[in-house]
Amino acid sequence: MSHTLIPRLTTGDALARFTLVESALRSGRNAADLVIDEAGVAVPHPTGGSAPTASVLGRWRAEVMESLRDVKTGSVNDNAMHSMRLGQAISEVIDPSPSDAAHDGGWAFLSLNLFPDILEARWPLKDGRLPKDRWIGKQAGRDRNYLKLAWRRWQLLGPVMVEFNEPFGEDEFGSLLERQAVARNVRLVRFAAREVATYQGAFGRNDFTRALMMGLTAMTGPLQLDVLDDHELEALVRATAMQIDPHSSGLGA
Amino acid sequence: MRAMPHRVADPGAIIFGEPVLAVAGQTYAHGEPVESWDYATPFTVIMSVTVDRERFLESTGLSTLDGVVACVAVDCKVSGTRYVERLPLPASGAPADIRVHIGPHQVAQAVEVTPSVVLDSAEGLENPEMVAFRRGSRLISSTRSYRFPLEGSATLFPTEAFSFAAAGFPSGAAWKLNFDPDEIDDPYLGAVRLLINTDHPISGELLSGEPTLARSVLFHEVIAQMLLTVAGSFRTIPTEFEEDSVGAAMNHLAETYLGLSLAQAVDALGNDRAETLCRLQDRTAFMNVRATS
Repeated sequence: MSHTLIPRLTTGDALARFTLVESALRSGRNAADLVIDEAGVAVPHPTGGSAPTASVLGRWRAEVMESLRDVKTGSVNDNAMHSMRLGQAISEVIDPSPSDAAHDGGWAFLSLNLFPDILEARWPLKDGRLPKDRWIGKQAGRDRNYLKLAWRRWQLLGPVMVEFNEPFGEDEFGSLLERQAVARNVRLVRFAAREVATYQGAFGRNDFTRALMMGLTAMTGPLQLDVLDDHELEALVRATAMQIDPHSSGLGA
Repeated sequence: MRAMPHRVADPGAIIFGEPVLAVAGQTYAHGEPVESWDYATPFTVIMSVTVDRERFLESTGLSTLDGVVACVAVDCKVSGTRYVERLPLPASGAPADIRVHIGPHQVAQAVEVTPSVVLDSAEGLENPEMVAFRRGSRLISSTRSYRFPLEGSATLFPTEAFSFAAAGFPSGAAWKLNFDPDEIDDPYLGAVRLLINTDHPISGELLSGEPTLARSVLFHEVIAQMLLTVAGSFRTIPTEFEEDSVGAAMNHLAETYLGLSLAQAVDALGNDRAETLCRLQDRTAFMNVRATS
């Protein structure tokens, strides 16, 4: 894990930079021309790790961009693959400290300064506006910053996505990780994701995912699932899936 | 209080002590800012548990303490992490400590500590006496969580001041309140942020902390907006809340400024919004500087 801390933009600086980027894109400028690969006004947390040098920021950008070379956006499948490869690249290249990554200012810096072209490829102008929550995050409440979500999803479900070559879509991620208290049980979510990845039953996969997670969430009332071992958790997820659809494939367990 | 499909322990059969957080040679009580922590510093949460063996066995219907564990979960909502440690229930009646070690760079902002008692064996069978038999069965039905603030000014209302014009906000606005919690149990301080427009002539007054007309308006509007947001966002309001959650903070505000529980306040806003907001003006000393000074 990296102990290099990501420079942070304050809310005011992030919003001002967002306005500039949006305006530049609206006037036809190329997003890659808007890259700022130095900290500038962004300041990393003062303690607990080291600040990145300009060469480190340059390496972060070069290596993440190389990882996304030839990865397209547009279709549902392309977008899912883009998110997965991006999350993997952030994990492997930047490798944020979870403590540092909990603060939205660092993600705003990465989105608006270091990787505006990645954001623009996935979340471009629509009716002349950029989706602020994807570019900066929500600022208060649950974050929706694209880079942060891609990284977080890779952290949680990267092994499952690789094992089944299955980049989950927005809806499936939404259902798998919606209940935060359940999502903090990483082993449980991974077993559920394996079940979803191999599902071949009669329900739509999104409906199956939602029903599966509702069933598992209901069990967290009488049971503390954290104490179950892997075999027991796997069996629990399998049994819950079978209750929803007896024809679920069973390949995931 | 959760209803369980099996028998649980009498409230007095298990006593958890108040947890402490030990870091860099110092210990902190819950609610106390953990000033000697930074990302690189590991820490330990310590919580004691004491068991009244006879009372526990009688109320749960279990025949032995073997296979029963006390658990302490340390959750960090913003980093999405959870650490759980367990300890076999001490049969002696003397307190025993459960220690949860958190390594460097794992958590941020705050952690919540929640104790539980769980059946950690699976040798029993379903039975008419409703004695717990499934591994993981929770054997106490009500526990509270304890919050340890690790970063920031945990007691201050999160406020940021900057130029709205440069940020693309309406340049003539004085403030904007960001408050849009996803869940009633979200951490309150992570769900709210007050933005002040430094271009506005009143901004200095708003940021001063002095009791002025402008601040009385801001105060009333912030509380009103938060109550209306909760009323519009959550179909059901529980009666118990996690410590330092949106629900707990809003319930406190509703009780203080409307004399109602949060659930009652939401009902009142639905039934007669104008009357309820009028009562809120009265209780917040709206535009009445002498009453607030």
